Amino acid sequence: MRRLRASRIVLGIIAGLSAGLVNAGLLAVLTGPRAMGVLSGAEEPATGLVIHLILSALSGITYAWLFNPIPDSDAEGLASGLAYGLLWWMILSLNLIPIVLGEGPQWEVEAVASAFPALVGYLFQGAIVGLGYPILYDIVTHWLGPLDEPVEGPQPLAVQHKIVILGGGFAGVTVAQHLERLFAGDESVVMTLISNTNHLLFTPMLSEVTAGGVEAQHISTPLRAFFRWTQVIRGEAKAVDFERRVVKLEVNGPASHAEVSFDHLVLGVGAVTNFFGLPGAEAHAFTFKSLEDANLLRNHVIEMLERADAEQDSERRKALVTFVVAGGGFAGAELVGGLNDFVRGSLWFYPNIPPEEVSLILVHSGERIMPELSFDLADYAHERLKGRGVAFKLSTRLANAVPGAVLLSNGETIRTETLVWTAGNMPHPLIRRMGLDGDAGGAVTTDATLRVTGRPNVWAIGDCAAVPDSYTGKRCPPTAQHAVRQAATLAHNIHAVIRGRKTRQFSYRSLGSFAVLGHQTACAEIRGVKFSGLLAWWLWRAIYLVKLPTLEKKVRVTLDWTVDLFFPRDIVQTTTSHRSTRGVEALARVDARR
Amino acid sequence: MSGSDTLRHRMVSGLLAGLLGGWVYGSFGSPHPWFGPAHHLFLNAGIGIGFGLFLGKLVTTAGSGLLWGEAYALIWWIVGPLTFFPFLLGNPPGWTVEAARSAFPMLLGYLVGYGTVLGLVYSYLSALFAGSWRARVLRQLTADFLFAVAIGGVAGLVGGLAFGAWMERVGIFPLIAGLVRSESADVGRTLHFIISVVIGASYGVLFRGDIQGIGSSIAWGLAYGFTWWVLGPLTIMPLWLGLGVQWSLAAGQAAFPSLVGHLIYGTLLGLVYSAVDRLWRVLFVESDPLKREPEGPGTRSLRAVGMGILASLAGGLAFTVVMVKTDALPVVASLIGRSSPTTGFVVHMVISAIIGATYGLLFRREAYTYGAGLAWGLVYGLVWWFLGPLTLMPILLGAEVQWSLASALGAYPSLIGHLAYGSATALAYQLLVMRYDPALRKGSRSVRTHLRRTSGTPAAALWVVVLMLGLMLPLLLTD
Repeated sequence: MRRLRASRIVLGIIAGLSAGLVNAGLLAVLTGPRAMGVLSGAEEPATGLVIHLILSALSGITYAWLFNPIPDSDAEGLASGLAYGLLWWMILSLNLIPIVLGEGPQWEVEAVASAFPALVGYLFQGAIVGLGYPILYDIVTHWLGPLDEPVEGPQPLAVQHKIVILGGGFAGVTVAQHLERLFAGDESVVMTLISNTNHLLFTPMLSEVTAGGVEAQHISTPLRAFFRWTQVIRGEAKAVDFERRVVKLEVNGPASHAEVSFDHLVLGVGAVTNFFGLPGAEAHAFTFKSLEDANLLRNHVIEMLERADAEQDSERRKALVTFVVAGGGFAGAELVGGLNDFVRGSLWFYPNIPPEEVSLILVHSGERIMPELSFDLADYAHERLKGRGVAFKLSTRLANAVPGAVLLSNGETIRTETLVWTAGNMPHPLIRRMGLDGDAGGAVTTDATLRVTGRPNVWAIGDCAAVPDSYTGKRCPPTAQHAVRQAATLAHNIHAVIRGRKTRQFSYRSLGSFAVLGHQTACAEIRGVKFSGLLAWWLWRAIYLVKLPTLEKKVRVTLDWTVDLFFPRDIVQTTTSHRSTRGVEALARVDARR
Repeated sequence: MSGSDTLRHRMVSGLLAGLLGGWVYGSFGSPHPWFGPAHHLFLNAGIGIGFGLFLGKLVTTAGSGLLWGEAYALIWWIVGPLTFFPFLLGNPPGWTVEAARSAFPMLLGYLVGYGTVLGLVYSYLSALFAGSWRARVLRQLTADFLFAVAIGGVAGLVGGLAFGAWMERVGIFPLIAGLVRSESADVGRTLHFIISVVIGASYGVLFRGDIQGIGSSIAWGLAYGFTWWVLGPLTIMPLWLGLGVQWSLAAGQAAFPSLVGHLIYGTLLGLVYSAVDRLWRVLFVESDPLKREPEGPGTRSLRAVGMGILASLAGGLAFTVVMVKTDALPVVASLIGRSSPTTGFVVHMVISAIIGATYGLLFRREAYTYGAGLAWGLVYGLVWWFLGPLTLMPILLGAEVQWSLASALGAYPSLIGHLAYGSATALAYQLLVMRYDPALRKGSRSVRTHLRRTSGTPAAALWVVVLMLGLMLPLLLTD
């Protein structure tokens, strides 16, 4: 590469100098001794010639840089050289030389007309450079062998840095995107992203999928669509061998992927649902973290409505249309709001279900829902949801769940076929298996540069990491907002370490949070300013639409929203593997997880 | 066919086309005053053979023949009448604007004889010799061909509407009607639109193989507009009326407004033609899942717009220098009814961002090197010179278009400014594109081939024709 660049510069200088000499010679013959002054602005012909030749050499180098790869034919070289000559004339004769002589740029037509001799001269000069440089280039390649890279066959890669990113959530994807930008074109750095899904899910809109307002595919983007060089492996990381610097994968794909070696490892595996040791809940509850969860829940809810419509017994029907959500955080509150809209909005299709039999219940251990929000906003959310028909069991925990019923800590039993668990998250179990330093909740601790404590080449961000918050001194909250900012800092730091530059400390103050509470209602707190109602809902949509990755998905979601305004909600069941035997299925799921 | 056969064919085609072109030039224009008829014959033969040898293999279509012919003619005009002829004959040097002005008739003559006629005739002769004539004729009678003719015609009509609006205002239609011995404006108008449609259709026929993007198509239209300014009001029309060709400097000066009209016509022709063509491709060809690219046109275009706007910062600031120098900022501010230079600067930067966005959109993927990007940027700057200060700006300010030679000469600094804007924007845009796609920067072969849309097309000839004529004509036509 270096040889190539040097040869180009030398050839450019030779071509530029010869062209400059021809130009000066012709101009001298045709216009007399003034020629050097015309070309350089200098009064002394010798000085003028020297200045002109220096500029000509420069023009040759610039030509070599501009027209790389060289034009396909001599004629194209000549023509591009003519265009280049025009440009060079404009730069020198109309601007640089008059400016140096203190006359300012000469763009008036009379001034330009008086620079006509130089125009013809530079056309010749440009033509000679354009014709000469490719010819010189060909001659040199003929004698010295190819200067350019070989045309055929892949390049032997000198990989020096392997960066492996675990996790295809906001954290992992953003890191990879930033790294691609930072290491753009550097083939010695290879990035691999390992994820157990092949898409990035935009979780803030997940409850809309269940509620039928947005298509499932529209809120997730294929991971492969984000990257141009990063290799994507869809697989589950089983363990990490820090001595050998390899990530071990569950082998159910190609054998070559059983192990992936790394020089830098980024942990962004996120969090999984935490049932706090309630086996009944783990067996019988729906989780609500993935597209699959949302789809499953949606199909199940429709199934319940279909069955209830056919059920003669009022008690059994009531159980079928009772939906319990455990956990009154953002996820739970948004989900219950969305579900409430969907179920009550679909009753029109099910004339045999009396609306008063439908109930949606939010069970929450705290005194008020959404503890992340300030008191009055949470209160507002509570009132709005209540007004739309959601019932609340506050200061109440789920004691157990059995097929067909849930038991609450206050001794109450609710007959229901639907329990959704959003009451807890914990860092991905892989983190614990790695044996890294962690906090009480099991998240891996990092320093402010996002480096895992005691592991110089391992980094962690997102929901699985306990990153110190420079504002509160506590752990950064596990939100996407923080994850993407951490990702940017992390990418910068890995780049800095590899390039031997200074790392940066992570610092970010949360902008605020949003919760949508069903039809055109939301509450928001942005840097302490509170919004609620339609305005907050509109802000919610606007901001999340901007945040939703890729233009294509933005357009699709916008269309979904628009269609939803004018047409009824869709109650098509996309899978019939409903949970009639859900106890059995869920047990199988638990087994599989173990 | 062996290589020597091809070479012989190229030489013979060039010889015949050169003799014909030289004959056209010699019989209508003033032949080189320094030579006798025998010299002339040799010169024509030499020019023709030279064309065949040097450019022959690049002439793959009639359109490329035309453009390479014109570029060739321009080069010869500089090498011959401006440089070596006077030099050889011991005459005063020719590199002054006065000498160039006195060689103006030869410039037009060269463009017609050694450019248009030589290039077009060569392209057909070489096809005839290569035996591909039949294939070419048959190929032309396809749906593709008819489609090109149809959208060319429509595009010509749109261009004709814009040109016609000016013709209406200056009352030129009765003059056009004179072509068919009539004085009625309606006849003239009808004739004008017929000619517009026919030229538009011929544009489709000539260039359909070479046009890919909208940006380059505008440039093709521009070159075609130049061509028809020389061929139409200065050559064919006066010949038809029995006045002989009008290749004198005075005739050129008088026909300057018509030049701007032809250029606006050409710009619209190229724009509409390729826009319809692109739309057709996007809707019916590229939408095929088997041919789709990883990113749809939606994402691609939006990114190009963003990069164009960003790049226009460079161009806009470069142009501000001349705006300040010529006190043009208050005039720009008057577009929104203000007069302060600061407002003018803001308006100017907004306009520059809009034009930058269109550059990104229209010239996406036209350039594979910085040099090519620069050339397209210069061409686009030229387009906006007569589109902006000469046409749109006066219209927006409620005045008539400023197509007269005097106002164009007054706006010449702005031409340089537009060229500076175009080149800076294009260079910055190319930097952004290459930064976005480093594979391109390293010249990775696959990406390069992928991007090399304008390769194999006479793009380089186009730059020469458009830029040289655009920059030089106003200089030559000054009094």
